[in-house]
Amino acid sequence: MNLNTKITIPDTLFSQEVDDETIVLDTNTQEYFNFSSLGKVIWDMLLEEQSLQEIYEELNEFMEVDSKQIENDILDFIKSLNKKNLINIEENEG
Amino acid sequence: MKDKLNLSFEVLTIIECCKENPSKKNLIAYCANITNWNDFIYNTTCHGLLPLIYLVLKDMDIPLPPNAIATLRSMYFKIAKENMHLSSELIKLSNILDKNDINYVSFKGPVLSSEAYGNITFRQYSDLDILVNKEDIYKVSSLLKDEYKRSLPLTGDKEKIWLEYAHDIGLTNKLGIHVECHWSMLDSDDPVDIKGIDFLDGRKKIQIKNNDIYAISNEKFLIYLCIHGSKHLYERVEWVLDIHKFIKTHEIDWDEIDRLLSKTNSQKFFFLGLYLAKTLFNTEISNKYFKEFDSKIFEIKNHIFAIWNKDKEFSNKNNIKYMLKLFDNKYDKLKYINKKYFKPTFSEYWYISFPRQLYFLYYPLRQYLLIKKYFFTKN
Repeated sequence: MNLNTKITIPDTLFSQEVDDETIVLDTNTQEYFNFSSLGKVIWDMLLEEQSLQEIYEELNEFMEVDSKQIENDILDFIKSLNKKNLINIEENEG
Repeated sequence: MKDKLNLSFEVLTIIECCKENPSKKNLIAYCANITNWNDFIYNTTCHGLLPLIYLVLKDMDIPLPPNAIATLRSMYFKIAKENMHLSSELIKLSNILDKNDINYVSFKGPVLSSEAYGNITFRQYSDLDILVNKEDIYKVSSLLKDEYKRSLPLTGDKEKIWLEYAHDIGLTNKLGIHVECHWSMLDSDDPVDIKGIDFLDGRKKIQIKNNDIYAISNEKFLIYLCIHGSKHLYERVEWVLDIHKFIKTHEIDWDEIDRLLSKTNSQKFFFLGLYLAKTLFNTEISNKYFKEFDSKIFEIKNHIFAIWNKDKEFSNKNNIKYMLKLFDNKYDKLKYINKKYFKPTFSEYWYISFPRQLYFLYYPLRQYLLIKKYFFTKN
């Protein structure tokens, strides 16, 4: 997995901003997932159909953190989403 | 202690939080006078407004006792999750009804929260309401049968009586979601007569999470909100706020409202809703309605405020005098008294099954059960 990996969000998820968090309901399993801070930011960008590369570039511009660290944080979060079946992954040429 | 509206600090706090621009100064003063925060939090849920109260108190950084904001937040998240579940289920149901050409509308619940409050989590609701034509009721029940069962399975005469007098059937799925499937907005023998309004006609499309859902037209839904709230004498502040927010967020054709109201006997029910919204939230309404706010409506308002303050108990016994003021003619008043105290209800048919030739016995049975309820049941 890398920043060129194409991610889509399944239609079966119901996502809602609640206070300072985003809650995601998997309507297949009736499980709820809460995202706050960086996870919330990345999830909200995924909902806007931004690619991982675009997310990386935007975060890199605004966050005062090492670029490699940002890339790792994004990919770690994506892996955790994948484990919970909250995303569909399509491997690209990259 | 009370202010010029004669409302307690608890109720004033709730109302201030519901205003378009709540005053921090007022909220600090009101909250400082709340003596029991557990009671207050419980009351915000009874008024259906915990999400808004939490968000306003938090965003305005109002000084609260330790744990109060954490309790409110945890309860808000619980409500938000339930609302998400109900909203996702509504989307699923709407797709099924649409695909099967069922003419339906969804009302209250997620539709109202999304349309008037701008967010499905800002209002409390615990079930879904849909309206379909009466001839489609069994078709809907059959389409949903894999997941939903009748909440109250009925057979034979009981089912016939239910279909004749009631106005909805309840469906419940294994996860506990309850859907009220209505074929009319009120019982067929309800003294509030709105049968002249076809709530399915002129339905409109709204969107929840990019999914189309059918809803009642603005004017008809506003009439419904006022009648529903007035029939319950606005036991919850939420029902007044619904009216305010719906008017604020929707274009209303007031001439169409007048045309529709003329087909009902419910003008005062409508005016009471407008009057309370105007009094509490300064809702913008047409000046022509001000002349309808007579002394009877002021008396009803005082009664409602006394109940909110807990100076009076919300009960049929206390409410009947004020409910009767909402009917203009004697026939409707008698019809109301008959329905409330004399006419057998489903409870009597449920209590005992008489053969059809002995149905007249349900009338004395009703009296017996009422006497038992009011005089021999401890609260």
